[in-house]
Amino acid sequence: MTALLRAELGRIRSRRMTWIIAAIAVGLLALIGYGIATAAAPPSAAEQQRAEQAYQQSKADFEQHGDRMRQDCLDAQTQQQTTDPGADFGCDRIEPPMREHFGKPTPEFSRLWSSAQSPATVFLGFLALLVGGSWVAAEFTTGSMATWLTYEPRRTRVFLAKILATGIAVAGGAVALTGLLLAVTRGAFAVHGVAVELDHNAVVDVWLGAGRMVAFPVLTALGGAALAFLVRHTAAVIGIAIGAIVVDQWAAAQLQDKARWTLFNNVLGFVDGRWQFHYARCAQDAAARYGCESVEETIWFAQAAAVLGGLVAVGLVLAWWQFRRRDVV
Amino acid sequence: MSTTIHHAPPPSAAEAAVRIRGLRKTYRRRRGSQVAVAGLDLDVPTAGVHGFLGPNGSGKTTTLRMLLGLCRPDAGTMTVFGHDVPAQLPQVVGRVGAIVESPRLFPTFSGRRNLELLADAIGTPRARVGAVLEEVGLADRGGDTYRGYSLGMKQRLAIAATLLKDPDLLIFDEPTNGLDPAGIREIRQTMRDLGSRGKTVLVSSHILSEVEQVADTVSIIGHGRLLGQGPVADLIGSGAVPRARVVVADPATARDVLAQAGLTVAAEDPGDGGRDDAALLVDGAADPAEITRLLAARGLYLSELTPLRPDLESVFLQMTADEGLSGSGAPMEPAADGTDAREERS
Repeated sequence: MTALLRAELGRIRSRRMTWIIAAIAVGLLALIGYGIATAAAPPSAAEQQRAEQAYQQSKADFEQHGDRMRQDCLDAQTQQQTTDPGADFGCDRIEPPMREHFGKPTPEFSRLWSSAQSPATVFLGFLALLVGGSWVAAEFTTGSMATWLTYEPRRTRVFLAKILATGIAVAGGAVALTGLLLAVTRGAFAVHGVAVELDHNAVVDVWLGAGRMVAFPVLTALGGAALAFLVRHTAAVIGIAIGAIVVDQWAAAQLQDKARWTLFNNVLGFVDGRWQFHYARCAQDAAARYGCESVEETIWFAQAAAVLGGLVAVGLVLAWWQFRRRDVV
Repeated sequence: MSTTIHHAPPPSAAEAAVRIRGLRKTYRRRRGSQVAVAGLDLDVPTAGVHGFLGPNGSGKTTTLRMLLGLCRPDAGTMTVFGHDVPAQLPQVVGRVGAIVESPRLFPTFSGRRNLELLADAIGTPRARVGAVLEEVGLADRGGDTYRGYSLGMKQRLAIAATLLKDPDLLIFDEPTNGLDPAGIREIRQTMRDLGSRGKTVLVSSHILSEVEQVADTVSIIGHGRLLGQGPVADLIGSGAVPRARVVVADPATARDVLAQAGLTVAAEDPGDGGRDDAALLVDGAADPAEITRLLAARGLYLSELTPLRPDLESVFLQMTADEGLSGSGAPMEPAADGTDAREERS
């Protein structure tokens, strides 16, 4: 089994497609890194000066007109409440302006990392699906699988070696790319001379995000490989993946609170560690008035991991079962 | 009608390199099912080259695929060196090297890299890769991309891949398809060398001259069933009707005379290698002297009398004709649902 796994790792490493996809991943991360480098730059002296001027002007305006603004708001609210007793114009939230709301905020490592990690993880996940799917499907379309099986006819071993090789290769690549993105983010702060200050919770969040950035591509690569064992063609794997997203998005719009079980919401729950989505809950009240309210639902990582992990596990079992039974031509 | 001919007692399972009994395979498709192998019996003796003959679509490739565990048989038993396959294939696969249909390796890898990966998988030292590349004459082209190889080079690389295991049984399916004459000669020589080194070479083909030149024994199948098997010489010797080519001044009268004597007579097709349109082909005369005697008794004197040695092609054509098969393609089998379905590739 070790020899087989080593051979499979050699094959996946030797594929040109693997390196093309890796190059695309590096290119995407470079774009994200450029965004980080720009965002990590602290505000210039001129920007700071303009922000200070705007803040002072706003503060003076509030000192001069704030009471009247609040009173005007309360008057309008009182008038509205004659017809709508529940009307709330948020007048108590009219407060003096705060300095941090003016100008470019000081860059924070954890915030920038988080904003880069989420899209990078989704991109890597898609590319990993291509790696896993194309690598297994190519074996069938080129006929190499038949040749391979004349050397190792134990299909369960072949299946396990391929799946393990897929997981190991993608995990290795994802670790390298995650490390690269972390290094780019940290480097951007160093280049701009901005101090990185992280408390314990922030450090944990950064590492958890990095872990998700490795785990998600591994899951999608395994899913892609399982699909490829089932449909035996790269184009079919990509078609099914895209079709699933389209159907999933349509279904999410219909399912209201049940949308917490849709694929893409769980993908975002996994990638971000926590994902909130909204849906409109509409009902008729006692006075026969029909109205809607926006309801917020949260998908936690544990649920997302269970859903995605379960789907991939089911896919792998189906793929194994079918690979053992189906003729290979 | 089946005309199975055994010219020697079939070897026992222990003696035979390959032994197949009652093998059946039906492909089920949306437009009906297609019987590819219909109760095939086959014995391949150990050592030497065994030709596996049959028209296109007769079930050769399907049989080999089942033997190698790539397809699941519906019924029947198969053994390779006494091991039941596919159940015990893992125990015996190290002794079997195979190329089924065209060689299929990774197109973007070099020939050497393809072999190294296969060697890694079966625990063969990489040093052997160089040796087998040398053996098939690809030592200086091993670094080239497989995709850039000619068909002959691909075929030779595939043979090198089978030799990595130093197998006792080599299975080649239509190994000379698409090759130029030089390539065909190389492959033929390779098969003959392997056979003479004590290896068992099972080569499937529909090119009869190729098999006749290299095979010690043959099996002929049609419609997924065995039509005959045995040593080539025996099969040729007794499987075909004796034939003679006769040239006389009055072929019409000669034809009547010979036909009245119970012989089958046909005018030779001038386009079929004949030298003129007066020649007759006479079947059924156990001794050519009988023809001389019959014609001389009627005052007809021979210009030429040539006993024609039967070859594998004539045996093959006779057997497949008996089965209602042509030499170039099998007629369609009736599908289970009553519709016709042609096997795409068995």
